[in-house]
Amino acid sequence: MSLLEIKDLVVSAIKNKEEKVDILKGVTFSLEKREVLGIVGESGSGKTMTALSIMGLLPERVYVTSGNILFSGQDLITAKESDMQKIRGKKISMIFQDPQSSLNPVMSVGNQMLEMFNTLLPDFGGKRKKQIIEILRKMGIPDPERRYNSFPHELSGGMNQRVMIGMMLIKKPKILIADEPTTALDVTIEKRILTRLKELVGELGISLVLITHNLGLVAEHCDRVVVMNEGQIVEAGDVFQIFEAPSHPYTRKLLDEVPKI
Amino acid sequence: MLLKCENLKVYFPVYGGKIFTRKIGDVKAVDGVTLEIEKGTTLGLVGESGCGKTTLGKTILGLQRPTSGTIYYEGKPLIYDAHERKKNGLDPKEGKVLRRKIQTAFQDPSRSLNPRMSIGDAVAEGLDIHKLGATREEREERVVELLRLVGLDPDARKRFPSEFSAGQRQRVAIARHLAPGPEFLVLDEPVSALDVSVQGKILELLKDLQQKLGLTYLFISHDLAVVKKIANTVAVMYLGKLVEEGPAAKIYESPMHPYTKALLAAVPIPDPRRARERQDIQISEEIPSSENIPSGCRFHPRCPIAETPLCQEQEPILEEKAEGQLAACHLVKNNES
Repeated sequence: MSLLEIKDLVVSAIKNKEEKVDILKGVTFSLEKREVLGIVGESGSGKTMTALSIMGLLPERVYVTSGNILFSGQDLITAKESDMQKIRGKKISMIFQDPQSSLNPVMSVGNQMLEMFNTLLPDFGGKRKKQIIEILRKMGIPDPERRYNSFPHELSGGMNQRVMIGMMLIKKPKILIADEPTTALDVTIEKRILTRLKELVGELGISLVLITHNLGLVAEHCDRVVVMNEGQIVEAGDVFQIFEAPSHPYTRKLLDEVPKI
Repeated sequence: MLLKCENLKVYFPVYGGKIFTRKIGDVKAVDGVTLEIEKGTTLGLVGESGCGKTTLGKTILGLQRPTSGTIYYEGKPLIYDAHERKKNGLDPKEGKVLRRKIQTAFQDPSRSLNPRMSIGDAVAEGLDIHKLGATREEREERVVELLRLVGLDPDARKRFPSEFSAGQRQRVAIARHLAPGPEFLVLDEPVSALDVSVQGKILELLKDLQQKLGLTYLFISHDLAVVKKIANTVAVMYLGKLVEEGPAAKIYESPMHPYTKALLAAVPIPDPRRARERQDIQISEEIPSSENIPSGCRFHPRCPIAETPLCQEQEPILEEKAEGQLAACHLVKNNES
């Protein structure tokens, strides 16, 4: 059994009383343990909506119409909110494009990490601060003792994103969904951050879903690829197969358009 | 040559102090840049965020005053302000003509367009400012012509920015900047906010316009793959200085400076086999602040090859290392000698 199985997922947005628009039109894919899965597509193709339905965080007026999302056998769509809260964050976590908006601007990054630590387990013996500094160091943040007391605006975008990934180290989820985690960053930093994320996959044995519009990133980091267009999966398969022998014309079009070095 | 920057410096003062506020330093955003752009060509200016590439663009546009150094446009100093022009013995009225000749286009088209102004009016605004459309018919005619030029339906001119996609909005923004009839465009990350497929189309449009109208571009971007598609010459900027400059083909084929090499190595390749086999050049991601620039070669704390004391002590100068290719590095051997 796969870790996560999505079967024929249909998500619709309610426009007004009579009309509704299907955002996802029957999405089916699965995620194995210790796998890096890439979801690619242009903006508006439904990649983020897929991720949000897994998390149970769909925006207002957007609902799952039909389909199943099975996480180790449990259907997340019919799950109670109280059950979802046990899964969300602890079992399935998500990081977003803009770390600045995910972090609290009036709380030091260390305290934010501490806060999350404490929601999982109360602090016994006050060793947490040391652990957090160790995590920050592991994430490649220079001078972690000082950075513990820094606020998000004092750190660069890349460092904030690493704080977010560091939080994942605390939570140790089974699945991590990264939605365009490096789109706002420079290429040099992008590479480092994705390498770190992949190290997490190896270290903690988690599965990573990388949502991106950049086929180059998928080629470098993913094991398997799902190509989405207009709410549907047009092609899915092994990374080598998709890049070397794409069968769908849309995949070919995407590949042709990538600017190459 | 159309535009020339000579030892251009733009510093931003930093104030501090315990009791009395005083100047305690400078952020050296642009720290002595010399570059030339030939008429009808595109110079691609690349670098990481915070390296000063946008400040350089803004200085050329006159949105930022240089601390020292001069910019020459068609051989004459580029000064927009009438009083400043008078002081330097130039015709004060020419300043506005320069404003017409040098235009720009920014990253986010939805933020550079007024949401309450129809796109036709937005495009015509430049004509009104420079008093170019004499009669209403002429103005209308020119708007139609401009919208056609950027590949939009002229019948859409009564519609508002919200009714268009991001790519179409960028086209409107380009039409708007073309309205006064510019010769030189500073394009600051014009396609970074767009999808890859739309990116390609806008780049094609820019190339097409360049040929038709004989435009010259300064193309600022952090994306080396995008720059490769459009630039004739490439200049790589690091902490306010150029570290490498040369014809685009040469920079991409045989980069010399370790920084350029590292940047190129970090660009993801859409080919899983090649990407996995590629040798990795690791540079530390910590960019020193431009307030506190490292001694000697400013790249040495991050440089994978800097070992000699020379790198820490003496600042390398940007000099020709191979035919047409300039690099600022002590360790790059001169090919000709």
